[in-house]
Amino acid sequence: MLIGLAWKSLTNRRAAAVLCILTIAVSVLLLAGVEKIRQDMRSGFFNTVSGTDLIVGARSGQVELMFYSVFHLGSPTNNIRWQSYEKIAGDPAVDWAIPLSLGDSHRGFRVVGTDKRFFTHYRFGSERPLTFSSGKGFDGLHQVTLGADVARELGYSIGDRIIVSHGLGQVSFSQHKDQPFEVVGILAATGTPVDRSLYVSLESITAIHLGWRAGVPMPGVRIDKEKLSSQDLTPTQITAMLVGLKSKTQVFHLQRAINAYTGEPLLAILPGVALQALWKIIRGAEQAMLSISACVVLAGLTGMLGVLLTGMEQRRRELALLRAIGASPHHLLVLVLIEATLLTAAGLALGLATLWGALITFGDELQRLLGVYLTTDWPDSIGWIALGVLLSGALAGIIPAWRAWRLTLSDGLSPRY
Amino acid sequence: MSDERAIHIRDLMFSWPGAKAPLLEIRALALPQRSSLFVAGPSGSGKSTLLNLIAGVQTGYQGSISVCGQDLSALSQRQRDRWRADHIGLVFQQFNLLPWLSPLENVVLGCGFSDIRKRRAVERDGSVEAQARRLLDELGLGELSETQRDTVTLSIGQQQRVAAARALIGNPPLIIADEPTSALDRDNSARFIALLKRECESNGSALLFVSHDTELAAQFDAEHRFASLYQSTEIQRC
Repeated sequence: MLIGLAWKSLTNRRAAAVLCILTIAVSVLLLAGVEKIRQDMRSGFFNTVSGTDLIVGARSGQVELMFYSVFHLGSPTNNIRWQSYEKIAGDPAVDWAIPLSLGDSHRGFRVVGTDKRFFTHYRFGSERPLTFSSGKGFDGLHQVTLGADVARELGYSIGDRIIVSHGLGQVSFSQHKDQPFEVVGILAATGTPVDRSLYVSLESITAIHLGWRAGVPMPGVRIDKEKLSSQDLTPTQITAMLVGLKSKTQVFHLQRAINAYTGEPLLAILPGVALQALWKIIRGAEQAMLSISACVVLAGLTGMLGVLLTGMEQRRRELALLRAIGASPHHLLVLVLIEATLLTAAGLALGLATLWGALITFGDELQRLLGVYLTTDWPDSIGWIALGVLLSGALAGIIPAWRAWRLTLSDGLSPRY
Repeated sequence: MSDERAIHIRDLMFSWPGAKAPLLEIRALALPQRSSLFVAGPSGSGKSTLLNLIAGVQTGYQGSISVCGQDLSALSQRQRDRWRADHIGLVFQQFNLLPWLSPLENVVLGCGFSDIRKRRAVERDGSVEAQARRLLDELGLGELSETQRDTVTLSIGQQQRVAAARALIGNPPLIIADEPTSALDRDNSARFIALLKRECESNGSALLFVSHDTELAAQFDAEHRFASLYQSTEIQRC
């Protein structure tokens, strides 16, 4: 009965109640939204290279190697020899090994020389494989597969011909003009650096550098395209490699073996550990974002407190009347608490519904805008957020409820002003 | 129960904490069941305090107050609230109704905090709503139980009658009316008192009617007058 009374009393003060609910909804939307983005960013980040057990490159730091091999940021310090790749790939513990060759770009996007198996073994998110929005993976010389962002931002489609630049600059003066590439496939968006990369075969990388010395084409040397296919285009060196093991238990053993390799100085890292080290750098900002949105929720609840407290003065007569009918101060305390809880619950529901509505309706746009792969799952902490907001709402209700208690005790049957 | 009176007050003395002189002093006041008592007194004579004491929302008095056979001082605050919900129907001078409930819902609310009154209403009329409709009908407000009319659009006379229906629902043994007619004109006032008395009689409820307007006294079985601030006398009529 008290719930019915609280409900009717609230619908009577509709304008204030709606305003109150909206304030709470907006703050909940913000808090849950930040938490959602935070979590998706985090899981997107940690799952940039899921399924890969080791990353191997020239000896440097683990964060550095992670940066250039996976995030395509910065430049590699050194290359590793093809023989080293073959040796590691041939280890009985290794299930698959994918070479990566970096150093060229196309209009600011990195060109990655790799192996066809990249498309089958690379995993992101929770073990999601790469998929093609159109076309297929490269299959031969001078074929390129584009990441989703590359295709969208540059407006490429299947069959377009593009020219790869030497070096990593946005504007490069040395271009591999003589050997244009044909777009054969476009990958679906992943929210990882894959979206911003172009994938070609290692052989293509070797081919476009034939006749080049020290980063410039040698004058007078012309490459006969007909002969390319019959030439041995096995690279002499690559930048890094992704390694998948047959059994996870051997990961430390192999890591130690690679780090102690005598042929050349190599570094093998566990992606999870390196990502963990990287994430520590970003964490401060993440925490700050979360505390700000928690403050917004606090502001929302304070607004509700204001509405309920001012309402209390106007409702002294109502409370006195309910008391005359037989309500105890305890009943009225509960009544006001129910009101606060109803308002908070309505705000919470509206906020969360709006967030998910927005995620479902504008998910793609948001994803593009934020560069975060957004899922429509609830964040793990949603239960805690909901519980926390609801409890704080009820707690905030204690203050006006206590005021109601005091008023009804001092007013008796008729309000004293 | 040894004491069958709706209200029985003996040697009551009440003063606000810190005040030198008592606000209220009543040697004896009794309201037998099914009868009516008119309490008159100028403003400030402690009438409201007396009602708060009888209703059990004010404590800190000397002497004894029994309502429907129950000594109030023996009850805890919660028990007094329950006792009031079960045994007393109240009508005030104004602001008797919750504006956000319909007139019918306001009447039904009279049983809201009392299972006993709910049960009695169901026993007599089948349901609480049915009794509310019957009471509204008998008070000449039959059309209110049918139409969804907004409570705030009612005239004061209609509001007072809805309040009377709410006080009467579930047959509480005691009805207390605190200046219920002072916002009404003479004709409406007389009509309201006649209706209230008739319903109390057919309900079997005792009626305590408080007013400063001593001209109304003639319509009640007995009269209790606050002569001054400190004394009170009882005028019995037979």
